[in-house]
Amino acid sequence: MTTAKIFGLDRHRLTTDGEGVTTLVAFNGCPLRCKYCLNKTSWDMDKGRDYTPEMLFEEVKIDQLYFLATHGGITFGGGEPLLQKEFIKEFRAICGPQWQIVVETSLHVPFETVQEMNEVLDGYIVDIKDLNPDIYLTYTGKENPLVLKNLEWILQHGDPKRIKVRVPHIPEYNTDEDVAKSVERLKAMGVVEVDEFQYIIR
Amino acid sequence: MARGKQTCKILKEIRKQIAAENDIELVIEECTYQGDCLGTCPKCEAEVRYLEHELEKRQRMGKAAVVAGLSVGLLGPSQVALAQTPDTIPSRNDSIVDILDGYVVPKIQQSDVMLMGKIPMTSCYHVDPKRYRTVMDMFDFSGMRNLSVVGFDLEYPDRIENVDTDDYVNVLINNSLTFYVPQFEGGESDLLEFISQNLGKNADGNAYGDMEVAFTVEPNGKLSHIEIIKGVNEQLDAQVAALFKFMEWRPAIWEMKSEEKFPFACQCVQKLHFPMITH
Repeated sequence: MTTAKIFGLDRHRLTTDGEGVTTLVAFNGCPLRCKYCLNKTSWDMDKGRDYTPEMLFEEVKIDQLYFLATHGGITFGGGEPLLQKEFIKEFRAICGPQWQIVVETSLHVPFETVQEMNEVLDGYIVDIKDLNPDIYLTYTGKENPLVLKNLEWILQHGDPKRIKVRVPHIPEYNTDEDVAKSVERLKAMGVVEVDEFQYIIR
Repeated sequence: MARGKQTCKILKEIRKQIAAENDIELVIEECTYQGDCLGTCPKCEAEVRYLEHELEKRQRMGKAAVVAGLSVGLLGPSQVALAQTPDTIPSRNDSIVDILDGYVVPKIQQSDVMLMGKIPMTSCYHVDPKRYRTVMDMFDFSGMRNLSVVGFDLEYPDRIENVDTDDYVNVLINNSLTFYVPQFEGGESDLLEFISQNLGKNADGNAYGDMEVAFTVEPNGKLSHIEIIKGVNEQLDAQVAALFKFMEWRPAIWEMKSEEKFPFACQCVQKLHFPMITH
């Protein structure tokens, strides 16, 4: 039986994580160690509660009418939701095709995972950090060629309008010029939904 | 609390739509609860369960249940508002407006509803974004005589036809006692809290800058003509426009010397500042 640790559920989010009324499901576990990560709880695999896809479905289905009426559904975040591919696939099998399933992801996951999950998902919110490999490495502790390969693949095998790429201004790590370069490169790759924003450091 | 109450209103609207579309009788009582609201409560949840039950009944009887996509328009980003370019919107400097406590109130807008209280309220204010023209019926307070139909071009506010503006303003001044500006329930702090909460996760950041949202608070408290005059970025603009679409405000009210109160449609501009916070 597939289980996953979930450290947060947030119902009735309105147009926040994609279309319609959504419930955010936050998984523990992330391959990155971003300096300004706001959900550092997700790094701790001892925290959170164990769920099976069935348990989660039972808990979130109370909002099914809202999901259906607004083309909303579940947004899996975290943490890195694509680390939980089996869980999400099983959840999709339970909830059916009408719920929208979106992932908030860094795409820092194996290429095969992205290929496998693409048909299960309705949309992506990709936190791309910065396309400059040095900045990415300094900020996340990991390298980014894999991320770019994954992004390129989903752009080619899905609807670019369903792939929102968030490009942050990261204090002390990148400049406006770096961000502009990232945005330019993303557009050249075929990204149409670019969301440039500022990290809030608390 | 503000976020919860507004979320509650939006969800209620969705329930109403589902009920109406499926001929389900759904009596929603006005919520009088004054404490913290999480956006839902046992009563709200019971209504959802009731709807589910009724829909299942209909399906068992071979009737179709109409739910899918029913309320998409309710929550989607307001593309209409975003499609309008900023230069089509009246600016704060237009000579036809007064600035009142941060709101821009077209001076000539306190019109028929206040004066007569009998005119269909939605007819008192209308903006045609293509022609930047405001048209309204104006009535003489004393004799309830239809003076004229007035049109003025926001680009050329001096070109006001068929009305003696001074007389009109005098009528307002002489017969009114108090003007209440429109207000988000709970005031500006609750408004800002509602927006920031609903803009969501922002787990690791947010856009920053100044935004200006123009909208009309209708007499029933609903907002219309929502337009982003000054945007921050496309995504944030769309989110904010979508949120405004569902807000309910206390409408503008003229209280007459007779103590009669007349809510009327009033255009407002809300400034929002999204700060860049660093350590």
